[in-house]
Amino acid sequence: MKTNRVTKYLFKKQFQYLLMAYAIFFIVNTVWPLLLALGSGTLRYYSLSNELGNTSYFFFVTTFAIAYLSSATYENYKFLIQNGISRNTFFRGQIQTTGLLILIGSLVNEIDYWLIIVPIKGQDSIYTSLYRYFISNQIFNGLFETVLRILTSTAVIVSLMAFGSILSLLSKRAQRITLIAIPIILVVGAVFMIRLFITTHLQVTWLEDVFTFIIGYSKEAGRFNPIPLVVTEVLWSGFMLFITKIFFNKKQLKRE
Amino acid sequence: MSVLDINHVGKKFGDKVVLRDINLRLSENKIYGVLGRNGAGKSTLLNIMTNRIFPSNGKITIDGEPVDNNDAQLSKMYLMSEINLYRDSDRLSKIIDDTEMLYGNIDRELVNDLATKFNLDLAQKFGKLSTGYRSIFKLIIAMSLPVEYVLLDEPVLGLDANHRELFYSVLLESFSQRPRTFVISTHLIEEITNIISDVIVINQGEVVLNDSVENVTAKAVAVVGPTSAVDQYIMGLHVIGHENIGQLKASYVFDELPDDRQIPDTVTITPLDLQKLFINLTDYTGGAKDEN
Repeated sequence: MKTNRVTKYLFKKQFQYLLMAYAIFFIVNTVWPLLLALGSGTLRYYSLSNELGNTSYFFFVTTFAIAYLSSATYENYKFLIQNGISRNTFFRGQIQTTGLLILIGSLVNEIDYWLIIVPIKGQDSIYTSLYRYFISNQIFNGLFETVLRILTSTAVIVSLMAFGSILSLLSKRAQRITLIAIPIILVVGAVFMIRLFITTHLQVTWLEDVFTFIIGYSKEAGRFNPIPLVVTEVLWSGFMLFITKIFFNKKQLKRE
Repeated sequence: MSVLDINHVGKKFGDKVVLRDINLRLSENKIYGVLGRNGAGKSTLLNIMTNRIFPSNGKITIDGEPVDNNDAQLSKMYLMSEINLYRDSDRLSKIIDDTEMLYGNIDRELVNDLATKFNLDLAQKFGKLSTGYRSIFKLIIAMSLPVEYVLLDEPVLGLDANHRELFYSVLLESFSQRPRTFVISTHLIEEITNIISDVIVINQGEVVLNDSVENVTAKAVAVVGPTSAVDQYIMGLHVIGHENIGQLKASYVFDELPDDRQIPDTVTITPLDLQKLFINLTDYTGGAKDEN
C-alpha cells in the first residue's frame, strides 16, 4: 500500500518534469527555428515538415529525461525518509514510476516515429538498417522495431539509474569530481587504446566476437538477427536493476 | 503498550566514535528530554532511531520489530530535525498534502489552527521561510501526524520567546488530548524542565543519566558550607563537581543523602536544578572551579 502512495508521489512530480522536457525540446526544435526564420527574413526556407521530421531526437529526449529523473534520487530520499518511508519501498516506488514513464515516453516516441517521421522521411532507423530482413511480415517487423526501441531505452535508463544510485551516496564534492573525472578517463583511455591498436597492430578478436554476437551478426548468413540483442538488453537491464537496488539500500542522510 | 528499544547502538564517522553502546528503552506516553553538549551524539542517535543513517552496530526496535527498512515501524515516528528535508521550491500546503498521503492521515483542523496561532501562511514556499518559521512549520506537522513517537531535535531553533512559550503550551495541550511519546533534544534545559517527565543525558557518546525528572531532582543537591564541614558530610557520596567561593565550598552531589548522617549547622543543602546538574555531569574539566 505504501509503495502505491510513493509511486503516486513520485509519478506526479516526475511526469510534470517529463512534460516540461518535451515542451522545452519542442520549443527549441520547432518554435525557435521559426522565430529565427521570422527574425532573419528567411521564412520561405522554413519547413515545418523538415523540423518535425527531425524529431527522431524525441527518443533521446525521452530516454535521457527519464534516466535523469530516475537517477537523481537523493532529494526524493530525503523527503520520503522524513515521512517514514523505507528504502525498499522507495526503490519499488521509483521502479514503478520509471516503468510508467517509460511506457508513456515510448508511446510518445512511437507516435512521433510512426505518425510523423515515417510519413515524412520513411522508415529509417538503426533497426531497419540492420534487421529489416529478419521478419518478412511488415506489421510484425514494425512491432519488433518498437519493442527493440523500448528495450534499448530501458537498458540506458536503468544503467544511468544504477550509476545515479552509486553517485547519490557520495558527497557533492565527490560527485562533481566523479562527473568530471569519468569522461576524462574514458576519453584518455579510448585514445590510448586506439594508439595501442594502431602502433602495435594488436588484434582484439574477442571484443569483435562479443560485439558481433550481441548485434546478432552471422558471417555465414551475412545477416543480422535481433534476438541476441533483445536477450542482452533484458539481461543487462536486470543486472543494472540489481545494482540499483543494492545501492538504494545504502542510502542515508549525508553530513552536509 | 508500545516501547522503542535502542539496543547496543554505536556509531563511528571514520575513526571518530560518536556513540558508544547506547541502551535505552522509551516507554509510551512520556516526554523525554535528551540533553547533551554540542557534538555529544544526540542528533546522530535520533537519526539512527528513524533509520535516516545506519548505526555502526546495534539496532532499534519498536515493540520488538526492527525499524530498519520497515515502513510499519518507521510510520510510527516523526523526527523534526534541524536539517531541512523538504524542498525549498514546494509550497507548505503541498508538503502537507504529500505528508498526509504518505503517512495516511494528518489532523487538518490542528494544522490550520496552529498555522493561525503562529501566524504562518501555508501558501508560502518552504524556501522563503525564516529559520524560525521553518521550525514552526515542522512543529505543526509533528503535532498533527498520527504517530506514536514524536522526536524533536532542537525544536525551538530560531523561535522568539513568544513563539517558544506558545510551542510549549501547544505541546502540553496536544499531549494531554492525545498522549504519546515525545523525545525532545534541546540545549534550553531550563525551558523544558517543567515539561519533561524523564531525562536522558548523553555525554561524549555515552548515556550518563537516564531517569525520571522526579528521581533526578530528588538526588541532585548542592552542599554548601566551610570546606572541612562539607568534605566531612559528603564523604562516600557521588560528587559530580564543586566550587570554592572564598572560604566556602559548594559540592554538587548526585546521590541519595544518608538518613543517618547529621547535617552540620554550618552546612546548607539546596536542590540542584536540572541545568546545574547537566553542567556538572557533562563538564569535561571534572567540575572543579575556584572563584577566589
